[in-house]
Amino acid sequence: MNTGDSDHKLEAAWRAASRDEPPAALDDTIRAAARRAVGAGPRRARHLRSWPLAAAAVMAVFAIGLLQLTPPEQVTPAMVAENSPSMQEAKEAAKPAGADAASRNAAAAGPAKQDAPIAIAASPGASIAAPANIDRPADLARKKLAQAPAVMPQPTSVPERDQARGDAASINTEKLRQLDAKAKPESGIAQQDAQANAKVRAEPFPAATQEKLVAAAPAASAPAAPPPALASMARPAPAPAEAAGALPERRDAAPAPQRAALAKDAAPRPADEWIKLIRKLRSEGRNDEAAKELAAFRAVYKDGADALLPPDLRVLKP
Amino acid sequence: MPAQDAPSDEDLMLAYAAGDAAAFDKLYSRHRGGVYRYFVRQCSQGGVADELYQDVWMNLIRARASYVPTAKFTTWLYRLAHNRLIDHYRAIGQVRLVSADDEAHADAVDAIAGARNDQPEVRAGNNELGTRLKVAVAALPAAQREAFLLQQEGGLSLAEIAELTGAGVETVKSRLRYALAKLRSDLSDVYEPQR
Repeated sequence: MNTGDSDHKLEAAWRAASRDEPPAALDDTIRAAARRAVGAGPRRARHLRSWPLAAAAVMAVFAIGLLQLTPPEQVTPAMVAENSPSMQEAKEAAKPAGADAASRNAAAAGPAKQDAPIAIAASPGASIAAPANIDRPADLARKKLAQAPAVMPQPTSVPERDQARGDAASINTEKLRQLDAKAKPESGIAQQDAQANAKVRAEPFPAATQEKLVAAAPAASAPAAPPPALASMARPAPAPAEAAGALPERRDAAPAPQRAALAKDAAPRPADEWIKLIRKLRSEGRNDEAAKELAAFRAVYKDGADALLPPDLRVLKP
Repeated sequence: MPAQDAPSDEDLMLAYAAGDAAAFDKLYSRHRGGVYRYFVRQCSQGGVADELYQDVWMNLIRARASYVPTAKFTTWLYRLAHNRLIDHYRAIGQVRLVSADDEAHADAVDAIAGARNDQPEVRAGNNELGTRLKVAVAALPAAQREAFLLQQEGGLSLAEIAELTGAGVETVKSRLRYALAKLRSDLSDVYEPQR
């Protein structure tokens, strides 16, 4: 058949004549490229390269998830304060005196009494079950550390609170004297340290330290409501052997500025004395210092400061 | 052409796109000769034909994921080949493709086609039909030659050639008619046309 656009004889002749094939090398190249394009080799390599990244991403997701699931109570300000360098130093300073008291108490009451933990009530209005040997400075220091984040004084009456603060102040002052007496002033450095301690005790306390001591005082003297932030915390007392062991050496080894700061922390200032000091400063015309003291007072007692301050000082704004 | 029970070209291409390298081997085996001859007959230099041929298959490999069997696989394959050839023509400055069926380009067709075939020494050296036929096809105008090659090597229909080249079906039919007439004329001394 021979139509205008088809000629079978010519087409057959063309098929017979045109038998060109691509070179074998070209075939191999193309087939290899096709296999590479879909082959498992390169894809596997890509997957293997992405494995570390994927694993890291999964680990990061798990870590973030764990952080999100961690209850915030597990990291309280009290724990942070306890681990801070200043609190560690305070512990170190409190332990030698505590060792003496512990030995006294061990003779009087036995070891079970010393090992009794400080039980703190679980709700803000409940009372603290203080241990019997409340005069141990180690316990006082530990309570002070535990109650560091407390910002509000206990909701007791003002006379009770002042009485408790007075007791705590006398206890701590006595212990500081014992510490200074135990530290042998054989060298000039020891004498300087003792003088620094005495000087620091004569100075007004920083607001935060007063707050801690005021918060600790009722627990040492009489049952009182705990600060809200300490609701669920209970701390064991230190081991007597540990307190009586190598701790004096650590105290002696502490540098003078740190010991001064510790003494500053340990001495209390009751509210009435503080108010007297502010009035005295105002009467002497040292209004700036009086304003600082008033600001410190307000910082310590915060919302309860107005209740403690007399009307003439209450109206003053720092 | 694939046998009745053999997978179609489209199925093989889809299988290859899904990662079956063996499907590509089958597909390649079916069409390697046709595509190669499509280029060899339109490129005077063998090296260029090899390069274009490889480029077409590489383009197919790269475009495997976007392949959609909306038309015959051969239409898609030869479209890739046609586009690559046009790119080659543009690169060497031979961009304009004219057809003998287009009367406006009759002069251009006369100037391009048949020059080698008309030379006496060439005609004397190619006595056999096959060799003469190859020379005659090479001497065809580009558009006619491409239509002839797409029909003979690719097995495409008039409609498929028209779709692939962007011309009308009637235009393609005219190109083929002119091409066959030219071939019969060139081979008249060794070829007796069908009656």
